[in-house]
Amino acid sequence: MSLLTANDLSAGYGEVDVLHGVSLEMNEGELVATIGPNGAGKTTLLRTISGVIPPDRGSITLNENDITALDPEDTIRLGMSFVPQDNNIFPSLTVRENLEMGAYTLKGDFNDRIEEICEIFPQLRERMGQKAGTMSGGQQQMVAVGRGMLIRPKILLLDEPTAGLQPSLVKMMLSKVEEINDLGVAVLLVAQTVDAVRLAKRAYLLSAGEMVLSGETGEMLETDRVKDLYFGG
Amino acid sequence: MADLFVNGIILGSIITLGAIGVTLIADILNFFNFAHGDMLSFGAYMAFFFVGVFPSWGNFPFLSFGPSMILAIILAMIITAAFALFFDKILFKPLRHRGASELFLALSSLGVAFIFRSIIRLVWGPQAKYFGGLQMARRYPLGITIKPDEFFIVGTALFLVIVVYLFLTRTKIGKAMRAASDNETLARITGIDTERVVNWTWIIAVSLTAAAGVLYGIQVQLRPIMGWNILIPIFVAVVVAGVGDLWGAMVGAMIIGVSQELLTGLLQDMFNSLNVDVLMTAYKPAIAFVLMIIVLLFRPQGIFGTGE
Amino acid sequence: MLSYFISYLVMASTYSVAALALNLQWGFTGLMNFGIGTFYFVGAYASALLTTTASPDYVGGFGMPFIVGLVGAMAISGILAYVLAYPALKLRGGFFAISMLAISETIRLIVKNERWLTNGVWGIRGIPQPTRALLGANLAEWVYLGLAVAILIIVYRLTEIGVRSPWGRVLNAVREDEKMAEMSGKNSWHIRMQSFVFGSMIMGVAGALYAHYIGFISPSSFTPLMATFIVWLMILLGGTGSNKGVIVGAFVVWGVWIGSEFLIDFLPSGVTSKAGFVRMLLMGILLDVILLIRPQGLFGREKVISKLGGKSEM
Repeated sequence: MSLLTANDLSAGYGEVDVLHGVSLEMNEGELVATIGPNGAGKTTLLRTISGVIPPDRGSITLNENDITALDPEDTIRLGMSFVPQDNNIFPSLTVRENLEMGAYTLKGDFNDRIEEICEIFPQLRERMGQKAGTMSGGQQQMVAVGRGMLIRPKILLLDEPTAGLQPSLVKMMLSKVEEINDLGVAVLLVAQTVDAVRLAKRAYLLSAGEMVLSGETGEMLETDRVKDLYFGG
Repeated sequence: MADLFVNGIILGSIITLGAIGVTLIADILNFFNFAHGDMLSFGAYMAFFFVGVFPSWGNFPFLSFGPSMILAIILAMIITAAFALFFDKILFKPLRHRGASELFLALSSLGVAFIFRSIIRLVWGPQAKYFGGLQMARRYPLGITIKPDEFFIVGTALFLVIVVYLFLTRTKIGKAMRAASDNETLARITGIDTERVVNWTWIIAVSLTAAAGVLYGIQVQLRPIMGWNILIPIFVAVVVAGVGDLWGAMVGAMIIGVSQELLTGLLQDMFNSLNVDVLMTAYKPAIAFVLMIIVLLFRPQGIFGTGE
Repeated sequence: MLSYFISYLVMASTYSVAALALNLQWGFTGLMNFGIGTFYFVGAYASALLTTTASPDYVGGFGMPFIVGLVGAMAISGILAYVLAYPALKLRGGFFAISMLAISETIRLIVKNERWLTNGVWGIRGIPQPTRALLGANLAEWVYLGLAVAILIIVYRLTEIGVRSPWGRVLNAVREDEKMAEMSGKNSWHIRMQSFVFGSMIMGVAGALYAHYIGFISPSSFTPLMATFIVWLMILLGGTGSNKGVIVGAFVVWGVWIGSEFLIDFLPSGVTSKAGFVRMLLMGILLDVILLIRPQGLFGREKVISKLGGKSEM
């Protein structure tokens, strides 16, 4: 059954709309990729769904709850986590404190949850006391994704988690995304590489703020528009 | 020299308490609070009021005051912070939600400064007030003279800094405050209740400055203008260190406190030997300002700031 | 009663000149000058020292004519601004505001403590009012009013021409987006410098007008901070960025200021000694109320000059 539904979303910053009537649908435990050229509105879409910016039009439903007008504080409580592409850690906080902030909306003890994160990202275990701002790009990305996982989300919105990473780390991070999905967490992934797209069974192509194409990833990758995006000039 | 240095540490510890608050507000609420100095005065006068109301429970050994002062400091901190929360509710919060710029918020805090200062003048008048009797300074080696009360001032300031440090690093809301000052957007994304963070920022920042006011009043005297006069060194401490964390504010405050005292003394000696008739103590606040200009010319992001 | 009214008009015109100066800096260039009152203060002292008769207590007076005092006030304020601009204009936003405030307090300390220069807390007396010796006090008041209004009109015309010229458009570009202005090759630092110095010179003229009208200045009778605050209030009420608006703002705020003096007469005698503080309290509240309920002022940028309705209500 459908976990997340976005219907006819329009949103943007100030007077300017970036999204024009975007719709998408995701099922429980599904991994879906959003692709599109720079400036297509992929990041804006994730920010709108998570509640960082309110949509001007349209509706969003999560697990049959209307979350259209909700703040991130409330969408988190309903099991949705958003990990932005950049500025996604608190640099002066330690790794452990970063993870704790991911649990801000939770009550009580969450040491077992931090242990879960360490199982996904073992490198973080011995760096718990290190300031996140002093870590390498790959490690910071782990902290960011780990922070998003702390609420044991039903759905994780990941904005290009491999941006700026070196090839070996890109591979590692993508396998972690797969691992997270295998835990039963639905992932809406903004993908910028073919490898990332291939993780998903389904994909949406966003262009100039409109959803222009959607379908099975394999078929999508055969279309000219998607080919142009990844293999063209 | 050594005596001036010690004086600088005493002044620096008072400035520290103010500077931590200015830094927190600048970091989390994104504006320079020009009412901070007058909130400091208000704290001092509130304590003055309570000390007068409480019965005399005697004095601590060596000190010029007793347990009533401790109680007065605590009440002054609470009440001044409550006033700050009130102003946030009726003024800063609506402005914030309207998306008012940093400069608008700073300007509105200047209005609040005037409100606090005129209330103090209306209630207590413009004349200087004293907490207690005069206290004799004791002599120590190297020509250092310290009043026993001044040990209390430095000790209390240090105690409060440690409490705030523990608050910011050990409590959930304290960590959330640091998170919000690092990255406000991410704090929202993470589900941190930013309004609560703002409230606690006011509580911590303003209760510290109220305590600073009482300590300043113990050391010198209470005047309605006291907070405004120390506001510039407080700002300078924050700017010199680069708006940042607790330790930056503390080091900046010590640099300002010590160099203000040392330079005042050294320049006075110099002018005296040159037979130039200048009273340097009158220019103490100006020294802080000149230091700020020098630092900013060479390091616009401050000594510890990383720049943007 | 009439003399009250003339006095109101003279002072309101003087403050209008000051408000135009701040409007140039803040309204058109985005310089948050929390020390604007300093230049008013300095202008007042400069003109006073130039025009009073010689005194054994302090530098001068030089017994120069009024016009020399006015030009001197302008020149000294301008030179001071020029020198201060080098460190201060490197700073942005709140940092600039802090540095201007610090400068303001420093200059107040100098005026207060350096008796050889300014006669310290005793202040300077006997600042001559032009034509007073010639025409007598009553007629001289009228002449002075004419003079203040004439200067106001000149400054108004100059600033209007200035902000509507290509120079004014660059100012606006600097205010709207500093980075853009920098990139499009216009040297934003020089532009800010020009606006800062020009505004400060006008402020100096306003200070001189004040000094020659009142005849006495001292660091306690009027502080730079008070001047700063009241001028800010005027431009916020009138509407940042509208030269007409800030003049209206100046007349209204000064009217409230004077009016509150009348009110004080009705207060019980115990309270009258504290009247100044009540007034300060009201000014602080007024500032915050304007920021809250009408941040664009009566004639602000958002609602343009056609909305004259607001004026009649005041």
